[in-house]
Amino acid sequence: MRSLLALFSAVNPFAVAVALWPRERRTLMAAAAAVACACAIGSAAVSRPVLDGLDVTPGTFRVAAAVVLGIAGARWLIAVAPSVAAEGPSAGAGRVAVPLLFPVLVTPQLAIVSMSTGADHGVAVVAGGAAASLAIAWLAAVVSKRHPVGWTAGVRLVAALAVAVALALAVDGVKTV
Amino acid sequence: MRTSTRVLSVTALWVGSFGALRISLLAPEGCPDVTPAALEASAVAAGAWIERGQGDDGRYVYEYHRDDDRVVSAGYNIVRHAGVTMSLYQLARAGHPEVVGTADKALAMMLDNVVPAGDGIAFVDSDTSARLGASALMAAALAQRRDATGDDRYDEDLRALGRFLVGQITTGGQMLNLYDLRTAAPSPGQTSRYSTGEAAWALAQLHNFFPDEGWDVPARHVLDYLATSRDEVEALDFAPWPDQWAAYTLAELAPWGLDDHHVRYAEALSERFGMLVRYESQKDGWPLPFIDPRARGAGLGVWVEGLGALARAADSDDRLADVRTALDDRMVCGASLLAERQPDRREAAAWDAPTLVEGAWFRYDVTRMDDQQHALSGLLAAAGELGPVGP
Repeated sequence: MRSLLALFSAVNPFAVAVALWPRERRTLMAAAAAVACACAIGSAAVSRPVLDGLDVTPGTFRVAAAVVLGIAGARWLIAVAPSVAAEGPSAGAGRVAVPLLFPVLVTPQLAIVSMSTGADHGVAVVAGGAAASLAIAWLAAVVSKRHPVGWTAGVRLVAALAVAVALALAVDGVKTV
Repeated sequence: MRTSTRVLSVTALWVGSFGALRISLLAPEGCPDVTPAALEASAVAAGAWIERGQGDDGRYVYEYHRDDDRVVSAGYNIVRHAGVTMSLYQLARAGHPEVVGTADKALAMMLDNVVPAGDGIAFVDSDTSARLGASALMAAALAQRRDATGDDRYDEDLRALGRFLVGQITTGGQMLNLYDLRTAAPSPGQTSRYSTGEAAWALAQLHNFFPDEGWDVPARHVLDYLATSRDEVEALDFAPWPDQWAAYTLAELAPWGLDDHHVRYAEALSERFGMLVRYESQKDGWPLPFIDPRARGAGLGVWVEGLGALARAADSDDRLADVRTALDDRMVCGASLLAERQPDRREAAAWDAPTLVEGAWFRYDVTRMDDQQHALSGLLAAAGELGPVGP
């Protein structure tokens, strides 16, 4: 459950929606979410070789993931999610790349949490958690929205969850034999 | 923001994040490849350093500064004297009986300095008080000697030391650190984070040698205290305090059966020692050793001792099976760091007194005899040479 919450808070669908305010096109967002999900699954799939290559144990990597997730959560708590909807091309594959994938969906916190979860629990958990979280993010981004107050509150709520999950991950990582 | 600027900022974020992590939390955990034979050889080299430094009075070189070739004897600590001697007997148990002569000479010094205390005897260096740790580690040394040699000539001294230890136990299993020789009573109010575990281990070894004499009752009483309330009562931060003596006690009593709270304590100690060794293993590259210096030989040795003892406990208790492999991994990693950091003959030759450098562990160019004691014991544990004592 904690792994799924970590992936959900790393995506933060409310932050995705606010960053792409007021709404993103369905097809472009779906393509971006699919690519982001593939990136998360790919991160999980290569987690063991990467950790071996870095000469770090899963417990140590979990602490690093916790720090990155915690920083992202703190940033959302303080600055919410600045809008990047006007950036990049207005349509086409270029828009999928910027701003949908970068900087909104494929983030350091999603990459490192996917890798850590993959090393601890396997690719299937990451695939399920990332797919569900990104599906919610897709919905949040494409739905018609008018008043940002509730969405901003949602960003902060998930941000608080990210910080809490990060603390739990850090404690677990530190306490790993 | 223009697309090119966004791409640059994203790239900078990713590269910067990874770089910051790589030189801090994600620094590589360096665990050199090493064989059990190499670990044992490293332990033998540490034993040789202790032997070379022994004087005619049975005392060892206490502290040595290699930068100005200076031996420090002031403040010679008899608790550490007993501990170093105990480690030599561990080395003898591991198949190196050649060190028994040196250890026996140090034991003779201890036997010359025991006095009646409580219902038994205590090893002292003062006319006014006896320290719990000195007698506990003397008893541990005698127990290791008995296991190494099969010689039972000191059994009565062992029992008498045990009776003194039992007299220091208070309600709840806490142990008082001092005994007042003038009033012939334990001194209230003062405890030691080291001595309680040392005494528990000594009592557990007494039980393993003399299982019909009831030594398990005080041993378990003190172990219960260590496992459940010591950290809180004695205000030790970040529980559990990494007590390798408690780990030894768990290993000694595990074949007799551990209670659930002992198992939970063993798991918590495993986590603590594992974390300490993982972090230490990250100090082989820049910049961590410059921010936080590498641990002393005694520090790293203690952690490896603890992991080794917990691995032995896990051998006897299936409830610890989940951590058994990880315990081995961390123990061997820590031991390999010890072996790698130990100066060999070639490295020692560059210093003024090579015989006081070879086989010792230095930090800031200083070594103390307990650096060699704990490293030696840890290396033997990682080489698979140590376990519970017994007839």
